[in-house]
Amino acid sequence: MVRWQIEKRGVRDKAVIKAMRTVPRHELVPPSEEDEAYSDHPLPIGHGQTISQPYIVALMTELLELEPDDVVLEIGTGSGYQAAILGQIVSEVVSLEIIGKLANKARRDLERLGYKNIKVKHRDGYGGDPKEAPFDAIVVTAAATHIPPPLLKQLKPGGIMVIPVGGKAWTQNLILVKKDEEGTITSENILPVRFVPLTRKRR
Amino acid sequence: MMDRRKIRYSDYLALAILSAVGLAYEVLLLRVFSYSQWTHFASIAVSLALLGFGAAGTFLVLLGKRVDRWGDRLFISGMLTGVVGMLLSVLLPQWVSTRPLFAIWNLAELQKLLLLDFVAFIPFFGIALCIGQVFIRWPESTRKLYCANLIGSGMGALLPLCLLPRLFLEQMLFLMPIVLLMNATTFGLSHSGTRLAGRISLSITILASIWLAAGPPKIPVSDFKQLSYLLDLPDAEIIEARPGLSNQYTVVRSNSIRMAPGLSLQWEFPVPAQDAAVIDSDRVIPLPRSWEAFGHERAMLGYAPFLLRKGGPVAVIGASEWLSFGQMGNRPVEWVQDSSELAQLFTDRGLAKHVHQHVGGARSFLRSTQETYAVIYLVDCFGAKDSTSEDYLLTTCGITAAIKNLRPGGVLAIPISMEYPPKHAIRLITTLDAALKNSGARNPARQVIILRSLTEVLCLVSNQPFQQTDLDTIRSFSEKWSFDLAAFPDGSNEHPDTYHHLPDSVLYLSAKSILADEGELPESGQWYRTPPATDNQPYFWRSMRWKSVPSLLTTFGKQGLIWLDWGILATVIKAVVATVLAASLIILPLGRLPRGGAPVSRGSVFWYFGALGMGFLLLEMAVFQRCLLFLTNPVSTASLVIGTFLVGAGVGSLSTPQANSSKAAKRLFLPIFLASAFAFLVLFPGKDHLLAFPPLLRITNLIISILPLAWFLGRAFPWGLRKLDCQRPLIPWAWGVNGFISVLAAPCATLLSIHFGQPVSWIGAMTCYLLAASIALRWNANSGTISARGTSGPGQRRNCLRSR
Repeated sequence: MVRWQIEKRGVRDKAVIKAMRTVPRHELVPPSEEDEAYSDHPLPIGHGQTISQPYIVALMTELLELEPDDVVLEIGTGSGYQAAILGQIVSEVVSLEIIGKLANKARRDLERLGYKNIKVKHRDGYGGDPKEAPFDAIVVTAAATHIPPPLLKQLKPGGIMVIPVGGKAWTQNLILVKKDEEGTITSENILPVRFVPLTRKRR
Repeated sequence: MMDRRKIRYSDYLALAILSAVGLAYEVLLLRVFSYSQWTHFASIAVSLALLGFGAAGTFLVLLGKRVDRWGDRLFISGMLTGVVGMLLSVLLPQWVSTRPLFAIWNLAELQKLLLLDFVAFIPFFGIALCIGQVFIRWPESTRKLYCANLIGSGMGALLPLCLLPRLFLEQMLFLMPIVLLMNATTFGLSHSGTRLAGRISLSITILASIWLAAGPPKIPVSDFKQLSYLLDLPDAEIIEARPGLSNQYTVVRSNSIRMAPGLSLQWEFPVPAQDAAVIDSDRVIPLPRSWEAFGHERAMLGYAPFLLRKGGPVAVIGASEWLSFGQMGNRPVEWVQDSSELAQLFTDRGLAKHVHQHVGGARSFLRSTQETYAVIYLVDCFGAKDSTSEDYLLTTCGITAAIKNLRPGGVLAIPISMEYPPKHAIRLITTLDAALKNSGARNPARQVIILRSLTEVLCLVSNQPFQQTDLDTIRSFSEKWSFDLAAFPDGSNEHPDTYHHLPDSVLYLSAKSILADEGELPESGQWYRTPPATDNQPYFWRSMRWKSVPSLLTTFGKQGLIWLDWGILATVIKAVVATVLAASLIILPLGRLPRGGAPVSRGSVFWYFGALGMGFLLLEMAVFQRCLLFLTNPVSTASLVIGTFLVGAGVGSLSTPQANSSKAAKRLFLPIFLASAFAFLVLFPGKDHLLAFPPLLRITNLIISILPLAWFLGRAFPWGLRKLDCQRPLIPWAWGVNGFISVLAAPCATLLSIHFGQPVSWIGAMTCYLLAASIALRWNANSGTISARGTSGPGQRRNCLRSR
C-alpha cells in the first residue's frame, strides 16, 4: 500500500511513511471491511462516516509539516486511524468527534493499540478545544462551508491547518491554511477531494 | 372463447382514468428520481414510459388473437400489473439502498440502480397493455377511444399541477396505484368474467388506502444528497416539511448547521447556528433563527456590492447558501424566486417588510419590471446545477438583461464557487465579457471587479466604468478581510494570490486575457469549456471538454473523476442502456424483419417509422427545453408540453388524410414544416415578446404556438400505417421501430441540445421529417406506377386501393 498508493503519488516525508507502515489499518476498520482495509478508497465505518483512503491520510499528514514535540488537534476522529498516524509522529494529539458512539469506539481501539498520547473527546469540533489550545497543527476531516473561526484562533502562530472546504457533500477542495508568526493567515488550494457518505441504517 | 361484447361507456371511462394515471405517474417520476437519486436521472422517467409503451405494443403483437380471446381479463390484468409495478417502485427502494456515484466502479451498485429503474418501467407496460388492447378489440370505435385516451391524458397532465402543491411525493406515489385499483375494481365488478379480479382489486384498494391514511413509507434519499448529510448530524431534527409543485421543503434544525460561504479568515468569532431549508433534497437555504445582526455578514465576500452601493433598491434573484438579507440593511429589496413555499417559510419567520417577495421566473421578471436597481444580486448562481440543466440566467442574454435593469453605475453581483482547476469561473468571465459588449461596453475590463476568498469568487459588474472611489472602497475591503483581487479595473492587482494561493494565477491571468485582451488563457483555464453560454445553448454548467478528460485524469488521478460532468456521462450511459433494453424488449421479440414488397420495402418502413420516432421526440424535448425559459418551473413545463403534444398529436391523428396520391404526402408533410417554422419563430426570435407577457397570456401563447405543430405531427404515423395495409406483416415492425427509436431519442435529444444547441435539435427533428416525407412521396409514386402497370396481385391491389 505504502509504496504504490502513497510514495508513488509523491508523499516523501519519512516520518509519515514510517507511520503509515506502522499503524495497523485493518485493526481500525469494521470487521466486515478488513479485507479491503488497505485498498485505495474510503471505507464505511458506520453512522454515515468513512475512513479516508490511505493516500489522503498520508497527504494531509505530510502537509502539516509535523515535528516530534508538536501538539495536534484533529476534528472528526471517525475510526481513529488519522489520530493513530498523528500519534506516531507527534507528542500529543487531541481528537474531537461529534458522534458519541464513534468517539467511544475510537477511544477503546486506540487504547487497545497502545496509544497513550491521544485524547479522544466527544464534542462538536466547530469550537475546537480552548482548554488544550493553542495547537501547532490542526487537521479537519469533515467538510464545512467555511473554516471555523475558533479553530483559526486556536492555531499557534507558525501553525498549519489542513481542511476540506466545500458546499456539496461529495466535492470539496483540500485547503492548506498557514498562520505566520505575525498572525497573518493565508490559504492554499491543494487538490479536489471527494467525501462520499456511505450507506446508513434507514431511519 | 372470443370476447365479442360491444364496447360500453364504462370502457371509455376506464380507459380515460388509466390514461390519466399513466401520464400523471410519468410526471411524478420526474420528481421522484430527481428527489431520491440524481437530478439527471429524472429524464429516465420519459425513457421508461416510452419503453413501457413500446414493449407493450410488441407484447400485444405476440399475443395475436389471444388479445380478443382474453378480452376484459387482459384489460384488468394490465391495470393490476401497473399497480404492482407502482407499489414495487415505492417499496423496493426501502429495502435496497443505492449510491449512484459508486455505480461508476462498482458493478453491484450499477445492477441495483438498474433494477430500481427497471421496476419503474412495469407500470407503463401494464397501462400501455390496456391502452393498446382496446384499439385492437374495437377498431370500429377508434375515434371515441382516442378521444377517451386523450381526455384522460390531458387530465393526467393537469393532475400533478393540482395535487403536488398539497401532497407529499410519497403520498402521491401511493395515490396513483389507489386510483388505478379503484378503476380496476369498478371495471372488474361491472363486467361478468372479471368479478373475482374486481373483488381482489377491492380488497387491495382498502388495504392500500389504510396504508396511505396511516402514512406511507418515506422515499429514501440518496446518501449524496444534502438532506441525508444534514440528517446525519447527531442533534438534527426535522422541524417542518411542506409539499410543493416543483420541490418538497424540509426544514432541518441542528446546532451544527452554520453556513457562511465567503467568510473571511480574519473573522474571529463563531458563526451562529442556523436552520436549513432543504429544497427537495439537495439545495440548502439558510433560515436564520433570528434576524439579529451578528456582524459576520460584513466579513463575508457577499457584503461587497452593498458596501459599494449603500443606497437604492436591491433585486435579489434566486436562493442559495449565499443568501443573507442581513448584508442589505433596511433598503427596499425585491426578492425574486420561483417558489411560493420558500417565500412562505421566510414570511413565517418574520422577514422584514422592506423585503418584497416576487414569486416567478428571473428572466420574465427582468424583462417585465419597470424598476431599475442599485444592486442586482444573482445569489442563485452559487449553487452549481447539473451539467444537463438549462440555466437561462447565466447566458449572454440573461446577463445582458440584468445589466439593462441596473441604475446608472449600479452593480450586478454574481457569486460562484471556485475550484482548482476552475470549472465554471472562467466561463462566467467570458459570459460577462460578451454581455458587457452586448450592452455597449468598449472596455469591459473597466467594468468588472473579481474578488476571491478561500473557495468562492464574487464578480461585480457595472453598466459604467467603476470610479476611483469604488476602487478605493473595494481595495480597503479586500485588505481588511484578506480577499484577493483577481480582476481590478486599474490593473493595480499585480499580486492577485496574496491571501489564497492557487497553483497558478489562473483567474487573474484569465480575466486579463478575456476582459482586457492581454495575453493568452493559461493552460489550466482551458481544461474546461470557456465559450459564453447562450439562450440557444443555455448549459452554463456543462463544463467538461471531452478532449481534456485524459489530461484531467492524468493530472489528478482518481480525484479527477469528481470534476467530470457526470450529468452528461450518465446521459450517455442511459442512451446505451436504453438501446439494449429497447432492442431486447421491443425489437428482438418481433423476430426477423419480414420482406416487404412494392411499393413498401422493409428498409423504407424502418427509415420512415424510425424517422418519425426520432423527429417527434427531438422536437418535443427541444420545445420542453425552450419552454423552461418562459415557465421556469420544470413540472408545469413538462405538464404543459407533454399534454399539448399528446392532445395535439392525438386529435391530429383523427384527421389523417385518406388519399394515396403524391399530393396526399405533400398535404401531410408541408403543414408540419410550416407549423414548425411558426412555432420556432415564436419560441426563438419571438422570445423577448413572450417573456414580457403576464404568465397566463404567456402560457396561452405557448399552447397556440405548439398545438398546430403537434396536431400535424400526429397525422404522419397513422398515415404510414395505412400504407402498410398492403404489407400487414410489417405493421408490428412499424410500431416496434418507432418505439425503439423513440426510447433512444430521449437521451439523444438532451445530448444534441447540450453539445450543439436547441436549434440544432430542432433542425435534426425537421431533417427526420424531411426523410419521412421523401419516403412517403416515393411510396405514393411507386404505388401509382404499380397501379398503372397492374403488376400487383388482385388481393393486394384491392387492399391498397381500398386504403385510398
